Amino acid sequence: MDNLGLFLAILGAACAAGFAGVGSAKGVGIVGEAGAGLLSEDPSMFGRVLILQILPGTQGLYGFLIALMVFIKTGVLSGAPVAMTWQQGIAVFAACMPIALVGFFSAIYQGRVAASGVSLIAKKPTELTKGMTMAALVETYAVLALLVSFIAVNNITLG
Amino acid sequence: MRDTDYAFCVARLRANEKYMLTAKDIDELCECGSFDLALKILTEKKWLTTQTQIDECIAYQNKKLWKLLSECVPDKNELKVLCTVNDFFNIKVAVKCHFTSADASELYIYPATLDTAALTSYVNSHEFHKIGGIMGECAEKSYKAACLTENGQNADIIIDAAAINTLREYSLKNKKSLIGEVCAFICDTANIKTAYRCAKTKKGKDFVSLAVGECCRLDRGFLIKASLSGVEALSEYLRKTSYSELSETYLKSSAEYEKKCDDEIVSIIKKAKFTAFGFDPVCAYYYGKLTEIKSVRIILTSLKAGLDKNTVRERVRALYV
Repeated sequence: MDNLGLFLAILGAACAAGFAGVGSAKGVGIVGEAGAGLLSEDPSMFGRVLILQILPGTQGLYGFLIALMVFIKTGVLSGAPVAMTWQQGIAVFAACMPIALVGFFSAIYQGRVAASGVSLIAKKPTELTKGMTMAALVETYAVLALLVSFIAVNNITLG
Repeated sequence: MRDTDYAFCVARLRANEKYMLTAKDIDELCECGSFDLALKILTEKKWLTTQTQIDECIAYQNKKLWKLLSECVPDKNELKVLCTVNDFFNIKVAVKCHFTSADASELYIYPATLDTAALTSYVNSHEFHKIGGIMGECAEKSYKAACLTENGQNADIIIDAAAINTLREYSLKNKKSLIGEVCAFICDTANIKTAYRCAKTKKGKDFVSLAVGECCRLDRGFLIKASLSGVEALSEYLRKTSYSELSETYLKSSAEYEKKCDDEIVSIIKKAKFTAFGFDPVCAYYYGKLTEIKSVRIILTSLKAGLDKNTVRERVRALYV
């Protein structure tokens, strides 16, 4: 029970990186499948497809960033973990949740929008910007969740 | 199956939709005035390669369509529904050819899920159970009816009604999807056509009950009763249903009725133009392409027969793209 606080903080970091990462993997996968469908008919569209496929990948990076911040803050990265209470551990865990949950769902939805964008450029190759813009709008909420998690993790006092 | 499993398929079909004929292309074909010029235009648009006969052109496009769908759908079983009408037609061909000794292989239509060579062999050897399911049962019933009554029409109506009932089942299973809507429409419009034919030829109760299949948005009992009472009564009943306009069209001309039915299917499938995932875009592409192929066949046949532009234009179906 001595390390419960640290355990909860690391669990939060794992959720941030894990859920956001899984969401991104699913999102990128959906766009990849749609992209492969288009490329099998028109290989010259690779560049355009790649841009759309990258978009849902950012949530995974946001989750990783928050997890890294937690590791630095708790001293896990330097190999000298700071002592913390279970209440502090829960606070870190809660701070990680916005990016974990919003990252997971927004990446999947962004993947669906980006895959629809692939269908759009399949018929109208010049409309890439519109497909990108629509997919990027979903990103807004992942960015907001990243900010919330970032501010929260940054302002929790440990030790 | 999740709708996102169709991401590859839908993107590939959308890429192919670019190559579908547009209203402008159809206009150009109608205006060109000669069969050879029409073939040249179709070859330039990569719709054909080296085909010169109408049947060859149609077979080439049908084969290409089926190859594309078979390659990209995640589960090929989902395509069975699209072949239902062709499969039942092929059973009819196999049964009829058994009695007439005609070469069934020249009459089969594709795409089909039933192996046509095996179908011929099963019917000729009376091994109907090997066809399997409802198709096997109706092939056997149809064969027996043909043997007992020595009347090809009785054999036909058993298979047609079985096809309609199968479509109805698909429609009930897929109520919320596009394919369900299309199946329901095909099922009802086929029944309306049968009911009118029976009314016009004054068929008896037994025949009408056998010929009219289960309905989706119509009351089968009322439809049969109205058909037995005559064309007027049938028209009166259909006027109260959502098929009122189509019924009026049938009374004017059965060819116009066929066109209106095809156009209505196109208007149903157009909803899938804005769907990015799932089976709906597959269904829409299939029926859209079938209508396009039918339009080209009408144009080529009309040009070969020397019909004027306006007559050709009247017969051409609405387009999906």
